[in-house]
Amino acid sequence: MSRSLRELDLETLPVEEFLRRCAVAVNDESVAATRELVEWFLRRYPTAKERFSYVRRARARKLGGGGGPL
Amino acid sequence: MEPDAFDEEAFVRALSGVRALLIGRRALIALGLPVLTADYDLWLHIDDVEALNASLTPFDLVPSRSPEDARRAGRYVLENGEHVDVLVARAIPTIDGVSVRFSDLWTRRQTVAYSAGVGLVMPSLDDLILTKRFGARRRDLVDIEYLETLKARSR
Repeated sequence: MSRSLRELDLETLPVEEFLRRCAVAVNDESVAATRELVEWFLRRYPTAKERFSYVRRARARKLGGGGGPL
Repeated sequence: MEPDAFDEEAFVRALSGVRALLIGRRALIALGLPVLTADYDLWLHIDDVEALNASLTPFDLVPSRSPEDARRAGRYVLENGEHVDVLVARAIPTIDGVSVRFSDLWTRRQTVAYSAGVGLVMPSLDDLILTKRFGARRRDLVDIEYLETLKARSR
């Protein structure tokens, strides 16, 4: 993730905008994609220890990471 | 201690001796969401600062504030090769004014297996979502969406 994207990720939104966006229902396509990702992650790395280890390696690869799904 | 020498399992075991809830992105990863983070975020009972610091002494994690200052500020950091952000407030308001009390979250806590016989203590899904409303970062919006999806999945 580039520095500018990381900064965007950590940007604080106006409260009204944040709450408005929280209230928007997640669309079915997005839910399905996230579910698929979670199923894969839990199957591939069954324990939290393995998941943490994977994320540690992934972050080391990305250097200066942050952001969304790997 | 070099970051790659960090014994995370021993760290997690050390947390079991205090009233500490794992929050933040590390909690999302524990629950199965593949997101990135470098830190550990804890919400600690306000009376357990000294106990946490003592239990983490073997890891050479150095507190950024004295226990009294940490309680006054509501937070501090433990740092060495690793970075642990620690909240120590009794209650924290969400951006829309809901007071989230540590004692309530502790009562409703869940334990997720870290490895065989070692557990991570964290807030319930609903409470984790509440903690994501302490700030209004773009990242928190994304995390809330993921957590809502996990909630739907667990129904």
